[in-house]
Amino acid sequence: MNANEYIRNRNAVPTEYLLLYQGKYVAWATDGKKILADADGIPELIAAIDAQYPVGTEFVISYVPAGPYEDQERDAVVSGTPFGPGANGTPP
Amino acid sequence: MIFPLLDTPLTNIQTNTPIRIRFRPLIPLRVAGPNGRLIDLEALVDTGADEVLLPDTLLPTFGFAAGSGVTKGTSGIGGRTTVVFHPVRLEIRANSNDRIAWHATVGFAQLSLHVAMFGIAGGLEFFHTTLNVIDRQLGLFPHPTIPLAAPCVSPHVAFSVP
Repeated sequence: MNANEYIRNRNAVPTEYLLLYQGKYVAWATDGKKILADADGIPELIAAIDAQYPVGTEFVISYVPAGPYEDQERDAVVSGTPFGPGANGTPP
Repeated sequence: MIFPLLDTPLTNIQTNTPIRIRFRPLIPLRVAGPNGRLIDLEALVDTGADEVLLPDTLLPTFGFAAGSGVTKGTSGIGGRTTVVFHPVRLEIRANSNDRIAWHATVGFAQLSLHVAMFGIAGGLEFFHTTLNVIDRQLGLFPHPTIPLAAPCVSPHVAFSVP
């Protein structure tokens, strides 16, 4: 996997594409161009990949934050380690 | 190793319009459990995080038994929680020819907002780190003290998630 290629291609993904997966854990293809699967939790996501793709398929797990955003500042991340489910519609 | 910062669009979901872009130091982090399972996660490089933290939902995936590992209470944004620590192998790859794997003890916890946190212990402590937001670049340069491990290569076997 080429992380530079992955991140560059991720940066080129239209926002509208990401909106389809709000509040979901997603499995990105290692080229960063498309999402292979999505699920409500990481174990479910891994199971979906294992069920749908050949053994050894590589993917990168990410999370697409969910809205609604009533306050534009709600998604700001302050340095530190966020624990537990948050008020921003973050995962359980 | 140099990585570009990830453009993270923040969107007003009610209007479906982009609010702004934030550049975040997110890198693909490969984790190898003792059972050989490899998982790649987007990890936020966070100098404010004391540890490398992974989601606790991955404990069964890597074959760690419930109740095993060293447990510590810790606090962060959102309150206090319990973190259980286990040894794994970590790997970061800037490209196919520029990669490094090392042994680390990482924490598993219930995380919000990000899938994984690449903090100090087990992670940044082994790297000279540069963050250039203007040029949108993150630099991670391994220090000789890093406890090197064999590359995390997929064994190409099927795993069943319990």
